[in-house]
Amino acid sequence: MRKLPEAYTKKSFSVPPTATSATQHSDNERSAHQRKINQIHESAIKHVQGKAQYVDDLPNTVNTLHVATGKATHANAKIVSLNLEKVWQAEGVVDVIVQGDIPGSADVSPVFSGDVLLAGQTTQFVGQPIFAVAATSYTAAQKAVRLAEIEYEQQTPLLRIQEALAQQDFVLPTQSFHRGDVIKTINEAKFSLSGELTIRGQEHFYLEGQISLAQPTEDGGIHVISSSQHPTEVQKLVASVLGVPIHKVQAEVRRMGGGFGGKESQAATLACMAAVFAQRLQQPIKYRMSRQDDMEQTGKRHDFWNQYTTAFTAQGEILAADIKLAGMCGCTADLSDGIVDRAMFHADNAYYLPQARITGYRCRTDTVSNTAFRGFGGPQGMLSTEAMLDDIARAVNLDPLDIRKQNVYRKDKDETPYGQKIEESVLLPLIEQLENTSQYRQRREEIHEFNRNNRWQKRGLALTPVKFGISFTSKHLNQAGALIHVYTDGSIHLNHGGTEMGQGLYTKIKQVVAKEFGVDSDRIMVSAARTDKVPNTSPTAASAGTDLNGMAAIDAVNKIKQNLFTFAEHYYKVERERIFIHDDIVHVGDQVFAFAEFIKLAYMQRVSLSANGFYRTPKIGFDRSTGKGRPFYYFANGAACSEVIVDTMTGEYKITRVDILHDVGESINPAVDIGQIEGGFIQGMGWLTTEELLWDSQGKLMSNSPANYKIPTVGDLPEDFNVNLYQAKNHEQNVYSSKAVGEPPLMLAISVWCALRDACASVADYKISPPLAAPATTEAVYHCMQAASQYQQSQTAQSGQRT
Amino acid sequence: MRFVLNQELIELDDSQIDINLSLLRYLREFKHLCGTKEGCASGDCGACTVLLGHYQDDAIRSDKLTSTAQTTPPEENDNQANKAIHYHSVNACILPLSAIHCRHVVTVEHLTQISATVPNTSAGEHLASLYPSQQAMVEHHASQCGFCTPGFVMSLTGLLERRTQIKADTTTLKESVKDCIAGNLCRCTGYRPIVEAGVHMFDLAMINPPADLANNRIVDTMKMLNTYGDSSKRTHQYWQPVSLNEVCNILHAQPEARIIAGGTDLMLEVTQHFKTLTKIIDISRVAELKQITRPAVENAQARESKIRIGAAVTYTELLHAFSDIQTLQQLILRIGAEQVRNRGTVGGNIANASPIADLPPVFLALDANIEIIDGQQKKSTVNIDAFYSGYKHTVLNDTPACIIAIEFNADYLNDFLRFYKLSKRIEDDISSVMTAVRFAIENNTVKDVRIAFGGMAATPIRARQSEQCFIGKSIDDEQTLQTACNALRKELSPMSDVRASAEYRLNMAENLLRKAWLELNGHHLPTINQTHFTQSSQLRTGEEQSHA
Ligand SMILES: Cc1cc2nc3c(=O)[nH]c(=O)nc-3n(C[C@H](O)[C@H](O)[C@H](O)COP(=O)(O)OP(=O)(O)OC[C@H]3O[C@@H](n4cnc5c(N)ncnc54)[C@H](O)[C@@H]3O)c2cc1C
Ligand code: FES
Ligand code: FES
Repeated sequence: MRKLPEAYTKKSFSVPPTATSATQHSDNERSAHQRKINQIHESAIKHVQGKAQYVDDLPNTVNTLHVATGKATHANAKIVSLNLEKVWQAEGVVDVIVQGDIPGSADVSPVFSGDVLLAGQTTQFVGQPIFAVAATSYTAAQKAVRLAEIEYEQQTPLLRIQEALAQQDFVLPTQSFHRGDVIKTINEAKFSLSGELTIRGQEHFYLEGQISLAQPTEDGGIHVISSSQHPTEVQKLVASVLGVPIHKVQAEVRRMGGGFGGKESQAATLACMAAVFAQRLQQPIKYRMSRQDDMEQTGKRHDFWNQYTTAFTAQGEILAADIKLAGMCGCTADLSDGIVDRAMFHADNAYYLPQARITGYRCRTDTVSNTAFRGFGGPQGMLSTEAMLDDIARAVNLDPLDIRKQNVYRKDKDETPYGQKIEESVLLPLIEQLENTSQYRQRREEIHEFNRNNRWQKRGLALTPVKFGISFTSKHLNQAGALIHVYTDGSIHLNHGGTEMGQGLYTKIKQVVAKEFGVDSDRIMVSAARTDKVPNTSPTAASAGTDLNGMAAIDAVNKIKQNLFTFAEHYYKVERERIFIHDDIVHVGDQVFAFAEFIKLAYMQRVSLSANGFYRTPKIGFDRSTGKGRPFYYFANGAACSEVIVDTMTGEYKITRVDILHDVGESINPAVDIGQIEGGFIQGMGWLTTEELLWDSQGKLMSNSPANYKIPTVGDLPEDFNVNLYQAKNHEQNVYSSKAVGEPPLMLAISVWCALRDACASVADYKISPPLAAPATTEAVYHCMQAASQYQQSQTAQSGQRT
Repeated sequence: MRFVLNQELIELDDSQIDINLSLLRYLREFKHLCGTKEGCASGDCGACTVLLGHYQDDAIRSDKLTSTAQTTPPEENDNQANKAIHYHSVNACILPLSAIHCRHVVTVEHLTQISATVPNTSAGEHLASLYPSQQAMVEHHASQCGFCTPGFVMSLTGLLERRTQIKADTTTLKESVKDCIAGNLCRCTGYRPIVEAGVHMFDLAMINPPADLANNRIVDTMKMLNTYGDSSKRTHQYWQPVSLNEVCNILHAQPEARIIAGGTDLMLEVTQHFKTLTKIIDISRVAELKQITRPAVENAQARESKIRIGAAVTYTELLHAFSDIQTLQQLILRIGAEQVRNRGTVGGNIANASPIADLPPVFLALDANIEIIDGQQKKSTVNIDAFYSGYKHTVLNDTPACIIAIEFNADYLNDFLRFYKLSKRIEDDISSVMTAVRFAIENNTVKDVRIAFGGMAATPIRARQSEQCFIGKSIDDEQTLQTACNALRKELSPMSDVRASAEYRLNMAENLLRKAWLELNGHHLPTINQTHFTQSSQLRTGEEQSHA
């Protein structure tokens, strides 16, 4: 007899809290509630059974053709001749297209222009598609594209941020905002310092590569199923490359095997390519990129080169900061405007800068166009500022945590350089709570002791905060729609404009709808995002998926409830206040009905059981011309304390302990939120440690496969990893007082980078902040360690001379 | 060819099979078993992980028990010892379909099928068809986007299958869970919940023992295949000889055929570079190539005794045979990850001639000889130092031949040995610098020394000048070390590439030699990234190597 733990006998399959202390303290009474809110991912069971279908798993119709592209081998080169004879003759090839074969517009840019589906006369970057092939199999297509004969007239490619800055080569104009006379303050200050930091980008490495499947429809349109965070854009761009009205195209996304921003704008290219072939050949077309093509042909997190100068008091209080952020946008604008903006909006991170000038450059390089990646420029804006805080601490010989606490936003020091007020006082209490629970002070002492006594190993510690603004900085994107149908058996169909990429959006929205309705969540089925169900949607991005779609879904639920209650009010002559739905039961005065029963009744009485909902975020707005405004509805906060141990001979290191305290407001689903926090942290840690994105001198991506680009594996998991949720409600009227959680935790990993630098600084007795590259690979840590020990040697030599 | 796929016996006409077809593509495109995913097609991500079972008949099993006397006995909690079919995890994306003749392939779909038959699942529809590894993953919120999930489920299932009777404490258990999923990438979860699910699945399996991966019918079928499915009868483009004689005959008749052992290097030509292989000799079934001869410890003192490792021995087999040599064990655990170690072979690592392969420096340090046989049945022996003639060029490029085994003095394992691997990522990464050092000491004086590197030249290389500096010198003479380090800088010529800069590589070659020297002199230099090898950790206690 199979005996099951109590949790599973519940009809709604949900799980007792297990892992993290955030949920451990629950007593019996609370645990029932916990089970309800810690609902498992709506697809979890399908995931583990291998039944969850991704685009490549959908049954192929016999005549499906497969696409591959011929890639440019030179950046910024003229194509002198293009001979595709052998490609046409290759086995299995059905069709070959070049730019001229695109019926509508060849430009597939999301916002600005310049992203072309296929290169024309010149190439923009190494790997750029020049022509495309449709063949009977994936392998046949891949083999065929290798047979092209292409001659180029090479020109020197522009590859570095510094060169682009020197040549003033920008994809978009430079922006800046400021407060006070920064230069004057810096020049007159007694203490000031400058620094610079090269920050490398990051490959998304979603486990499911980019893919789209396009099927021609009888109306001359296309139905496209894609792995995209932005079905509306897929729809719009497919219509545009085909030259048909938008209504002829439907885009559908059930789920993605990871997105992380990489499928926000750049997934559309695959859909467009597949659609062009589908329309030409009137056959279903699948375009799945090989991992290498994906890595070479799609954009990544922007490299940045940041410079800072800051003035401060003898106690380390910041007086002014002049921060220059230069993002490597690649060959076109793509989403870079918003990304560099967000870097600028986060250059203060959690600190009050009484005077500040923040400038953002959008540098053009002859490389693939960089794109959204979890944090959207925010992480790069923050990292150099955290480095700056460490520099100040070492300059004034204080613990970096004291400097951070001293400068963190607080009452009367609560205005960001762009004029938005920090209305909640979460940061300082949160930092102090973590300082205690992580035993920061005690461990700091132990580490000093350890470092004094160990030559071959050094330990480092850092506690860094994160403050992340929630809302799209492009105001119009802050809107969402939802569609809800109640069927006559009481089952509920839920659809909204958001896409599921693993972040648990569908699970949360389902919970929200269940709660708002007062029904069991098992009643609700969430269906694939489709542009013909909810139109004109925004990308699922900016961490705002639950905020926007949740509120839109609530709006839809309330419309249906309104219909139901109005009906009940009149039919049963009961006052409105005495009608409600709770736990699947409809209460009408003293009468009770099972939900399904009541729905059937409403249907018979011709009550509308379907509604769409809509939401737009209130309060926000930012004026670029003045550099002031309120770009964000609210801020999500967090802090992490990381400890590392480094081998001084080799630069090898290990992350020994991480404590995280993160603010998600009132959590809708703590299990999902903790999953986002941990996953985001590890991803951020990868960005700052082992993931090194490298191009060679000709602009070819060297780190172009998982064999040479290393995302974290299980062995990189901190030995001791404690994640807690900060207990506080969102003070804004966000969905059930929760806060967005998708992106902010990634930046908690900055603490790892700072801890590594701290370990290296110990070699110089913390008198300097030795330069450390980002990512801090073993090699980079070794060099940092060397810099510190050289400094120390020169000091001893000097003092030796003096005595 | 014949094999069992989940519950189904599959018979395919060899002449109809494209020998370049991977098991993964076969599963997804021909069998529409789409639970097994493709994340990279290069063995790096584990999304395509499946279990491969082979039948071990009673005779072989008892035979193995006696013949492995010299090697390490099977792990303590070994659950497979009494099972007829042994399973290990592999990457289906780089495994040719043709290689799995007579094997039992288990995909994630199988787990659902066999779990569905468990009676009395009163839990409602949700839980009815979950295997412990799956159920634990669900309970611990261990999937987010879910794309990596089936791969993790299969790796965990492999572990569960090997060790249902877990007596180990949670820490040890956790380490073996981590070991078994080190070759599975997840970009969403950050792994913590997956590790916890892995630990928890043992509890679930204890409460409700899951159905066997192979029921009696499957075992019988496998037995039948094992008895009648003679690999050597396969003669169409893909040869799978079972004796060395046959290998030679095929080599002779098909000089242009490529040898495949584990395929973890060769198959990348197909899946990454889209090349077409036309003829393949699969040597993984040749008994002579699978043997390890390791004299018992007492005899090792005898000068003459040799250790011999067959070319087709996999890393996993090597690990079990040498788990008492700490430094070697630590190194092997950092070669690829479990799926790759289950397939990749010693011979393949040597023959592939990559300058960054991990074992060649080890064998250079052990002064090993490589035994080769050609199509004319002519055997020859060449010292590994003479084996490599240039970048990706070996003596095999001149005459097609097969490596039979690698051999070295057993005594060398008693010398002071250190193998250090440096890479960006600790698990499943290719070395940026690989260092292998052996000091033979007599009366505090260096009698013999080998210093070898990977990643420092176009081939694996011995640092002869540096070695010379030590000969006859006292081990604790720091000046000698300095001279040797200076010599290193002259004789090594590393490159800058995606893994490391030339400058760093040179510094590391020097520092790692220094590190070995310090350790030789009794300094304790703890390894930061100690890899835990838990499967035999109990065995190791008490017989820790005492070097030098
Ligand atoms: C994900 C991944 C991680 C890896 N990590 C590492 C690592 O950390 N360290 C490392 O060193 N390697 C690593 N490798 C490379 C590879 O696994 C090893 O080199 C392995 O030892 C190759 O063995 P194999 O049996 O799979 O070779 P195969 O692919 O079968 O063959 C490789 C080459 O050797 C030839 N060959 C094989 N056996 C013989 C023989 N007996 N006689 C003559 N020629 C022969 C083949 O013809 C072929 O040219 C990794 C590979 C992958 C896919
Ligand atoms: S698909 Fe990545 S290892 Fe096979
Ligand atoms: S759950 Fe998305 S990659 Fe693991």
